[in-house]
Amino acid sequence: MSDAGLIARVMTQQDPHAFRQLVLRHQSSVRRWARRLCDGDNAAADDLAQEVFIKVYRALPTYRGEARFSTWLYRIAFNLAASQKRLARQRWQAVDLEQASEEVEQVTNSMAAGDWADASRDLNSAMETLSQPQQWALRLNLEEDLTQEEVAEVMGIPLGTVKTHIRRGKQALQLLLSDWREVTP
Amino acid sequence: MSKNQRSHERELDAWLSRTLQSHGEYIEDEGFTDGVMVRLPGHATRPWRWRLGVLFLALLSGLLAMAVVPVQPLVAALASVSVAVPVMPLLQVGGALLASVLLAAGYWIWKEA
Repeated sequence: MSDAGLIARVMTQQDPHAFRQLVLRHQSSVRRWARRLCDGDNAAADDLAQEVFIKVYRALPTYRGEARFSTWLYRIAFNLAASQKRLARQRWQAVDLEQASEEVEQVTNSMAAGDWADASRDLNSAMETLSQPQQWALRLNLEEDLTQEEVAEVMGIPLGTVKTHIRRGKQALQLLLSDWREVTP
Repeated sequence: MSKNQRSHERELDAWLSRTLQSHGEYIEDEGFTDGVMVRLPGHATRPWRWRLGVLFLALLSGLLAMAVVPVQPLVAALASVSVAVPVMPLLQVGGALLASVLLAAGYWIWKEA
């Protein structure tokens, strides 16, 4: 049954089994994000993830189905993390706009298509070197398949800032992976 | 931006997406969902309130019945009837009714649990 079907059953029949199915289906991704938002503290992350689902249960009557259910879950997780963990949302918006995009053009031009395969194992390490907002924006966009508009909604920051985070994150990744490629025999 | 650059960027996006998705770890549930279900508002308290309410009403009805109905003459009347009337059909009907009530209660408890 789809997420929408399960939500309908929770709302119309107060069916706890349907809500249980929703939690089972999304627990892994929500907990993974909670761990990122709690800097790897698994116990705090699980508490946060539980709070997310409890808040979802309470707010289900207000869910209109305009956004994907997963997007809604992530948005609640980010909001809770921002309030509970006192994450400075202003910091997510701070971007260094001075560096020109010529940098990326040079790097992009220097990379050939087949070079990416060797660098795959290093991608996660490369991601670690990015700023948190860049990592989150890139992961939401490319790992979770959210559009840039959805990323902006989840992180609660302007679309332009998200685009900058994503562009600059990719630039940094290209640079890092390109350097490692040159070192690798 | 040149065609070449756009093509490289698309390629990078596709590769990043593929690689990040393939490296995304799955976290086993290990009781997490049960923990959520127990903490849901009303989940733990509602059935107990229901059961206590039903028990209280049953007790009250029983006490009222005892106070209102003359028990001793009724018992005596039932005893004289049971001697005159064959008891087995009555027991069968009563047993069937009891079984239906127990089945319905069992289904309700299973659904709530």
